Parts: sequence; C-alpha cells; structure tokens
Amino acid sequence: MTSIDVELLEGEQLISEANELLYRQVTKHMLDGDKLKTEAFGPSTADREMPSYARSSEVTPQAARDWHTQNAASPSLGVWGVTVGEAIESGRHVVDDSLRPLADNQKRSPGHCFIDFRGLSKPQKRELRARLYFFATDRGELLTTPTLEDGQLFA
Amino acid sequence: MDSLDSDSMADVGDERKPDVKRVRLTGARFEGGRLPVDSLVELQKYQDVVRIAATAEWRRENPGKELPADLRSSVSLTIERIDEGSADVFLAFEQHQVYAQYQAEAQDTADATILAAYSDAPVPDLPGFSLAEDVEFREAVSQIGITLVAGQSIEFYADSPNAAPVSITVETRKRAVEQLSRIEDFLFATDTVAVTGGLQAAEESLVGRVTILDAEDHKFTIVLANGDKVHGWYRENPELLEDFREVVNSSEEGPLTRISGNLQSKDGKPFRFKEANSIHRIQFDETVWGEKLTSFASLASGWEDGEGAQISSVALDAAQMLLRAVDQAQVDRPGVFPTAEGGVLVEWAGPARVRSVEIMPDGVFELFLLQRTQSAGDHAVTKDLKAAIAFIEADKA
Repeated sequence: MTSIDVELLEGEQLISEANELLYRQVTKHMLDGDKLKTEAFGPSTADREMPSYARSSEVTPQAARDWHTQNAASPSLGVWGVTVGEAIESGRHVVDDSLRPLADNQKRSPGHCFIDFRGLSKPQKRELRARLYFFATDRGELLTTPTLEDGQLFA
Repeated sequence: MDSLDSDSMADVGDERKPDVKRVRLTGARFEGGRLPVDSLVELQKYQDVVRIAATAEWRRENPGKELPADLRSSVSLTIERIDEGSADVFLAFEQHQVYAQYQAEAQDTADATILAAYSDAPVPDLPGFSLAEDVEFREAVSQIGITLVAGQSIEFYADSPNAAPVSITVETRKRAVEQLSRIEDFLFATDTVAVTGGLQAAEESLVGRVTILDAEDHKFTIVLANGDKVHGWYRENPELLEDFREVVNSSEEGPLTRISGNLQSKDGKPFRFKEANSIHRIQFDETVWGEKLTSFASLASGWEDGEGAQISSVALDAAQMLLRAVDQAQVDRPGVFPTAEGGVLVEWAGPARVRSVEIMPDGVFELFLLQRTQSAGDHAVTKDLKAAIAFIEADKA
C-alpha cells in the first residue's frame, strides 16, 4: 500500500495541501450507540471505491453536513475529519473530482473529493479504513448541529 | 334507513365460499326478498371498478401484449342466490380460472380504494395504472352510490367481515368524490408511471409479523417493522400453509417471520409478494444483542442509501452465537453493525488498535487485527466459530 498507483480520470486532480481537512459525514448505520465503525471512513457500495469527503478550503463542516442531509438518502448525524496528509500517511492519495462531468440526474456536494480506494484488495481497504479511523477519532467529532428543516428556527 | 350491506367473504380462516360478495338489502323497499332494479345499478358499478383494475393488472403483468378480448367480460359478477327475508343477495365471480388471479387482485385494489375514499384516508397508489386507467378507475369508484337518495345507504365491508364497514350515503359520497379527484393524486400517478414504469420484481425477503392468512385464496398479509402492510400469495407453494398457520397472529403479536419469494416493489418500497416460496421464524436471544440482530433482520434490501443487501439468516445466526461468546468472555462491548454485503461486523475499535470479526452472508468469519504501531495488520478467514471466539477472547489475556 506504500506504492502510489495513481490513475486520474477526466476532471480529477490530486490534492497536495497536506494540512487541509477533509470532512466525512456519518449516518445511522455507521454508529452503534457511541461506537463509530471503521467502515465509516471507507466506501459504501454506492461510493464505488471513492468515499466522498468535502474540502475544508471550500465548505464549513456545518455546510457540508447540511448539504448531505438535504440531498442524500440518509441524513448526516455528525461530521468527522482527516487531513490530506493523514490520508497520504495512511498510504493513499486524495482526489478532487469537482470538475468531473456529471450525468443529468447526478449532484455533487460543494468541495467534493474522495480518498482513493480504487484497486485495493479487501484486506488493504480494511487497514486503510482503520488508519483513517485512528486519525479521525484522535481529532474527535467536529462541531456541527443537526440540519434544520425548512421553516425550523431551532434544533 | 334502507341499507345495502356488502360483506366481503374472502378472509382468513373463513369457511364460507371465497370470492363471494354478500349484499344485504334491508328496509321496507326490500322486504320479501324483493330486489329493486335500481339497486342493481350499484352492483354493476362495483363490477365496472373491478374490471378496470383487472385490465390494468393484466397490462402490468403482460407489458406490450394485446389485451385478451375475453378478459374484461370474464370479470363478471353474477347473483348466486337471493335468500328470503330482506333481500339477501350472494354475488360470485363467474368462473374463468385463467383470469382468477386478476379477478382477486383487482377486487383487492377496488376494495382498498373504496375503503380509503370513504374513510378519509389517502387513496392508495395505483401502481402500473396508466394515467387514462387511473382516471377511469377513480371515476368509476366515484360513481358508486350515485343512485342513493336521502335516507339510504350502502354498508361496504371492504377490509374484512369483522371490521367496521364504510357507509356510503349522499353525504359521505361528497367527501369521497373529492378524495378521488384530488389533482395532486393525478399528478403523482403521472410521475409514478413516468419514473418507475410500474413495479420491479426480484427474489427478496421481508421480515415482519404475519397477521392475516386466507387459506382459500392462498393469501397472506405481513406487517413490517415500520407498520407497512404487504400482501402476498403462495399459490404455487400450498405446502406453506402449515408454516403460515404456526406464525399467523391477527393481533400483531406473533413471532417475527422472514418470508422469501418473488417480491414486487414500487418506488423502492415493498408492494406485494407475487409468490412466496419460503417462510422462516426468526428468534434471537432476549438481550441487547438479540434486539439489535432483530433490527438487522428487518432491514430491507437497499437499506444503505438505496444499496446494501439484506442481512442473511446465516450471518445473523452466526452473529448471535459469537455475541453469546462475547458475553461469556467478559471482554469490552463491541460495536455491532450491518454490512453492505449482507453480513454483520463485530468490532472493537480504539485509539491504539482495531480488532474485528466480519461475519459474511455465508457465515464465514473474517478476522482482522491492526495495532496502530504495526505497519501491516493481521488477517484470517475461518468457518470455525471456535476459532472466531478464540480470536475475540485474545483481548482478555
């Protein structure tokens, strides 16, 4: 996992700002009480090996959470984060795909990027998720509040 | 008040002849078994409603094919007999075995729609209906009761003979017609057809409690964890009757049950079992783990943002055995999660180490340990429950 095998598609570019924080949304089935599963930092089936994160240079944690809750199938229950440097230290690169063409029925969150799980074996994915988990939980949950519904003034 | 009392006869455990509608007319007009001609119009309107639904059902099941010329006429009600006393009329479908399925399903659709319209409930979706069929069907339901005058009513037992009937009167019909002609329902129906093209069928299973069993029609109803009711049939597997009898409980207190078969879904939600082919009782320990595994068992396909396989019974059973061992080993409480592949993840994750057992849908245990200071983790795969237990007990040392 130390050798970097990068194959970028049209509209994708590597992120090199090591200190930039990447926000990850956590949803219902990633939590068991206060326990967060390591899989939360890897791809879901729908992610196709490209788990979505949001760049701190583009959005706030709250804005990222709100966009997710308003547009994704499952609402975000909280935001955790890892830096680009931590992802690289864990053995993978981070790709900004905000210029990648979208199909008509697709949406992309502001500041969208992903940690590249493409081409990894299942054991390699497990290890990468676990290492990202270590960094993210060292940092702790990022401060956000539940997304308000339209017309709702208070949480 | 004159009363036209319609009593559905197709319910569970009912020893009366199935698919028979009993229409009882009471009041001075009907004494002596007299059946005024104008009351026949109402029966004919009900028949029209069922015919439209049967046609839509056939088109949905046979896309692109030409409608059989005899389908519509085959869905015909006939007066089987009129008993003495007040006019006590028994109606039956004329027997056309080849279309019996469409008759039964169309009658369900018709009864559910009438029930909703006269209960002030949302009129159910009419999946697979074209816009023209949707409009024609609603219009036909609206016509029921049009001959009534003040002081007359039709008591309609749409749900079951024991449930409270809906009452069709001049007054209640006004509200029902409003319900049936709501513009947003028409718009919804149009969108539905355009987006989904009807129902999607797949081999799937659902977990819930069986509350209704109709042995004559080989039909059942299962109530899911979210309260949704899903109907289904087991016509090609009549041997399932005994299994159904063991789990059916009308008060929704029966055992949790997994039913598998050809499930039709609409807009990603379960609609009905076209044919059930297996039924299994689900029972977990009465513990926190048991409660959690029950919730996993109830996850429908697509639980993870539209994807995510149903959690397999094999994985759930294996997880239960592993979690019993966790309790006995007195190790820290793990996090327990469903996995997108249809398995269960049992994980101890902390700042210095991650240890996990992923139980695959086929019951295989995938063991993983990563110390933060290690450059690589330890991975193993085993079918041996004892080996998986030994792996988690290593934390005790």
